[in-house]
Amino acid sequence: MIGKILFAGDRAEALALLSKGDAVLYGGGTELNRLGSLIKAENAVVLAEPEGGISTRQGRIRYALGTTFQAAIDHPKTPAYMREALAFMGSLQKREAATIAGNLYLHRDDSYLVPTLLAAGAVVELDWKDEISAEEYLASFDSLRQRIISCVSVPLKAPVVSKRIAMTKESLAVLTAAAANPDFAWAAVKGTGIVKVGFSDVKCENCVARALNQAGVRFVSDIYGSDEYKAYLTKTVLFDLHKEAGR
Amino acid sequence: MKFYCTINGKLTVLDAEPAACLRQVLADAGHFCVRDSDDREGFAGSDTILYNGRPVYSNLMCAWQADGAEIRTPDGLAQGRSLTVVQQAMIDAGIVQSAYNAPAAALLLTWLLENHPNPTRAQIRDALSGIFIRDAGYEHYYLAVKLAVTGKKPSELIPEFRKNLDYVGKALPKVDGPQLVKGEQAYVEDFVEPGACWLEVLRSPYASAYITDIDTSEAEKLEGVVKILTYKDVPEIYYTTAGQGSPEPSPHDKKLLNQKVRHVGDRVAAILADSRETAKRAKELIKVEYQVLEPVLTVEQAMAPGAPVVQGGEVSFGVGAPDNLDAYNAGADPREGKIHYPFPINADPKHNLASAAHGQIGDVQKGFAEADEVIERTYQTDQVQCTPLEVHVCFSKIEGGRLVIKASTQIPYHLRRVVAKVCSIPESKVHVIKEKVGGGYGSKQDILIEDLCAYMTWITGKAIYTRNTRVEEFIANSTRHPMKVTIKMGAKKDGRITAISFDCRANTGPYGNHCLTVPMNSCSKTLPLFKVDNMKFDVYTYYTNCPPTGAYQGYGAPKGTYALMMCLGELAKAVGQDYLSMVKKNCVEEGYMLEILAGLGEGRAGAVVPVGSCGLMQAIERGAAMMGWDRPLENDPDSDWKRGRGFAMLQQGSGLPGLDHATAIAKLETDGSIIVQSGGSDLGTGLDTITAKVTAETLKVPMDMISVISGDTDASGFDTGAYASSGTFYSGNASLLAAENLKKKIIAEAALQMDENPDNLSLEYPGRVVSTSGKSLSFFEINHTATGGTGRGQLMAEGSFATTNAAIPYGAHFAQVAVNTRTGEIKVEKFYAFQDAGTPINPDMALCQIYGAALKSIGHTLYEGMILDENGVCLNPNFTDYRVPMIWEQPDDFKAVLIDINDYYGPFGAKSISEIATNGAAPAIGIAIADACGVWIRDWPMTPEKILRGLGRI
Ligand SMILES: Cc1cc2nc3c(=O)[nH]c(=O)nc-3n(C[C@H](O)[C@H](O)[C@H](O)COP(=O)(O)OP(=O)(O)OC[C@H]3O[C@@H](n4cnc5c(N)ncnc54)[C@H](O)[C@@H]3O)c2cc1C
Ligand code: FES
Repeated sequence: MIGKILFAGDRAEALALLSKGDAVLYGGGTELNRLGSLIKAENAVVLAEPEGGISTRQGRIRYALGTTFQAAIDHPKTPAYMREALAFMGSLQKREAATIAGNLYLHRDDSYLVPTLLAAGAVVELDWKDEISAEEYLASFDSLRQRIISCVSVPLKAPVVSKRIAMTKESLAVLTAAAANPDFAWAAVKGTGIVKVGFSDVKCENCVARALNQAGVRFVSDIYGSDEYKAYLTKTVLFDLHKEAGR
Repeated sequence: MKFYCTINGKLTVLDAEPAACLRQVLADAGHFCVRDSDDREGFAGSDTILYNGRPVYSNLMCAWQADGAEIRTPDGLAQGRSLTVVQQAMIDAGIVQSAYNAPAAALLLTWLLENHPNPTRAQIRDALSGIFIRDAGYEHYYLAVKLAVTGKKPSELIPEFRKNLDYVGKALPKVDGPQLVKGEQAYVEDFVEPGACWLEVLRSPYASAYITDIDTSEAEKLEGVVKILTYKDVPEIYYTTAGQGSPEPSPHDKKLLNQKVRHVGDRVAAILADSRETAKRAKELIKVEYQVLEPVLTVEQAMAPGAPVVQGGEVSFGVGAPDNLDAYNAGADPREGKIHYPFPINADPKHNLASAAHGQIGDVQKGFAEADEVIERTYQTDQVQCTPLEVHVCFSKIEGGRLVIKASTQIPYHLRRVVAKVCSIPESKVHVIKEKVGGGYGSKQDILIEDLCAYMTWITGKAIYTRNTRVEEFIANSTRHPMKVTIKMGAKKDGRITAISFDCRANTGPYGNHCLTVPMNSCSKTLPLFKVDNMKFDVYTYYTNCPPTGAYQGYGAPKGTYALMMCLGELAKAVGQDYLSMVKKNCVEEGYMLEILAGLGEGRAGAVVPVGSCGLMQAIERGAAMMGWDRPLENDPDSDWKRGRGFAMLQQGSGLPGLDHATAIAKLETDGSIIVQSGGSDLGTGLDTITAKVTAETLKVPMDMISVISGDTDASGFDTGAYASSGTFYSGNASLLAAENLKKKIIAEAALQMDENPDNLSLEYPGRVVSTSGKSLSFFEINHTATGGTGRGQLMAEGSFATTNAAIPYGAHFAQVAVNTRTGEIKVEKFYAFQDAGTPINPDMALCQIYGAALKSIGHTLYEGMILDENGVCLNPNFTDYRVPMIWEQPDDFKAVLIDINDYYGPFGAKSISEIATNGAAPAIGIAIADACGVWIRDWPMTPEKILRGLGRI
């Protein structure tokens, strides 16, 4: 829960407040305000003019920082593969508040969007100036956590296929995975985190299992399933996505 | 800070901290029907508002977000006392039941229809995707939209019964529907008086421990702390939390606070303070030292030789004490407390045995010897939670020297009795008012917080409010008993069952509330389905240190039904018989003498009666026809998805013959209207509407001339309460008797006033007495004269109902599943619930209760379940991780069908409805899974991981 709201009159003020290191940006608030939130921050910075615009440019669709899941679903230009991943969030009320930027920022091990964003080659705009790939963003997250994701863009056309496995639509996923080509796939695995797997000469699920092993992916047993189950599911689903993406 | 916004069209200024929770700010501003049922988890949707025209959870927002916004809350939907089309349609569809989330759902459907005047099924599903409904399920929400969109009358879309009757069997609006759907004051939390103190409970972090030292001095110094109680301060009064008829079958094995804590979440101290914040701070300041003991969590651990003892206290008996009692009690540790048995239940607490029962008919060994095939299988059920949207809540105060308790309870009279005992005061000094219950499902058949709240009020004189957190609901509430049921069943090649033995090992957790009756119910509501000469049961219940158990809709029956029907499914395969024809060959029909009942009387000899009205075969045959049982299922050989189907036959009871009792008083008011004071407790399931209908039907008056006052211990006579499916049958029959007695009095009085022979008089609509001579008097005229000073006084009558007759509801639930043999995923494609509820007095609500109960049990079967670590800590005490079914989980093709049967003993032929509907899903789905992929899953929940293990993939 948040202790204090800091109102920023403009972008510069927001960046200045965040740079102090004791505050986080207030997105849709669905994580910040929820019981048991992963984010423990005393202060939250609110940008006076929230920017939720969606635009298209050079074959990409750009979701500005305030864009909610539902706004993206409702936008006619949102590609079907994105719509599929956005709909992994079951609750309409949450979709109406949760932002794409917030979801990327959190990159939880049950993330709705991150595997799809990564597979699609999403680009992240930081502080309204620098652009880096979502993959780089996550790789350097610790050093970027105080910066603002001002926009996330994805290609209007990308052959992304994805799958989410959870016991119920509104419970947490044991696995969410996506691939856009037969060479690699991304997965959010409960207890493990975000995983990238490269495929070379993959003939069966066991080849995927080997690739996961080589990538140092370890599975853990928890209330969502045993390590064996997760390992089985990950290799199986990733193999299926690899085949589907290759078609 | 001030925030300017529009709320329900009115410019409003909210004064709050910017980071304050928006829902709380709205509730404080008077919009109290914007509720919270999960402490800001962001799951249940009770806090839904429209924010700038979009539905959001106000709990996941801060006050600053209100600034400049246009906000709509459920209480702003209707003008004045009117109802909107949507609200009316929701009532007409029968979905306004316990209704905690009904106002939020009304808001969502209003929003939907404003944006999509003719929505598709997918759009309706999406609009309701973020709201949790536990009571009525989701199916009739589609119907409500249809009613709202088409303007059709409910009677055009909902089946009606009994053409000869005007109210009974008709889909008429629930009497308290408007109050509930509009979000008016209804629940205990809406009646808490300003300035009430807050009661907080310090709970044990250990599953088993002695409190060796407890220091409250620092906490007591905190300003605002009124009183702190520990085990040292409470009276030596032992009781059971189970709300059951006297003599209680459950052992009295707990005090308000005990020196030994027996589960994670057990009470350690009670803190009363002037605010919740102070009470919480004081809680942090209490220092406790524990001698931590090794816990036992499972039946196996509890049964093991030398296992740690959960309840090692000195034992006493009301009647039937054994001769060796002194020896048994020798050396009992006083820290363990005491156990009092009103009568013996074959317990041996020193070996963790809380109760036991045995019985048989015929000769089981002979039966097995005659069989061509005998199989023995063990089935395990897990610990599932009732999850009512309204948590356990209580407000108590002193008024006129009496203790007044506003409670959300199924058992006002038992609650009064237990509280009076704990406070050592006469029952006449306690006034229990059951407010609307926002979901009970059995968990409010136990006295879980009212005892402490009321006692604190009695000793301090303070008005007190207390409310469980959602975590407390999981760890310190009542849940379904985990059970291990071993069935041995033998059959001839022709499918005739020759013998059944039923061995039940139940886990009652730390206390013995319902420890005899729930496990016995696993056989008493299942074995009498079978026309088998040789049957035997052995029931053992063990104390453990898992979270407490208790009553849960269905009681023991869902577990027994799961085990018996699964085993029958496995046996059918073994003898090469079609499962359907084998069930039909062995199920009871009307007139069959139920000898097995002799041993199933819950602590006393049971009455052997024949099967009464029985729609079982109809339910099976109609269900099979609708499923197309005689046609093979379509299965694509190249697909990983494999289809299968299954079903289960089921039964329940309608209250407890020979144990339950109900009372009602009907009064003719001076204008000819009628007030019925019913002892019954409407849990939202429509009992008050049943009372009104039964009265209107009997006295030939319009329903709106009748008011029902119920659940108030001052206002009516004794009623055992709403449990064991007793409401319609017992409280309904009491109301019927009261109305019939009032009718007799009206006719007698009219005869005197008209100078006519009573035999020539009858009642006619709307509230008139007419004579064959042509004379007539209205109820107004009759009562006017009767109360005019020279008459014989107000006409009123009492109805008191008890019986040994049973009205058993029957049914059959069918499931079609698709199993992905590669990922283990399971989809319930079809679920058809056929039920014989006798005359469905409220068919709209009856159907919703079937949908709600069936979906709940689909949840229990496939994903719900409390997960404990090795120390007894619950790892998933929230909705998200516990996994309750939302609208997404509802089967695509979901049908509830009421079989038309007229019972001999129920009011207007009615039997009970809702509990039975929790019994079918587990066996129907389990058998369907086996049919689809060959894997028999013998424990709940039936997860994808278990499928994959069964298939040998992991
Ligand atoms: C019941 C429940 C279940 C949930 N289940 C899941 C789940 O299964 N999978 C999942 O992924 N999420 C889940 N969530 C979390 C959450 O709803 C989503 O991840 C959502 O996308 C977060 O977005 P938001 O805008 O609401 O973020 P906020 O709550 O506003 O913020 C979350 C974090 O992101 C940061 N942030 C937000 N926007 C930006 C930005 N533009 N630039 C930099 N930092 C930013 C914030 O500073 C904060 O640290 C769940 C939430 C609830 C309440
Ligand atoms: S957060 Fe929505 S009901 Fe609690």
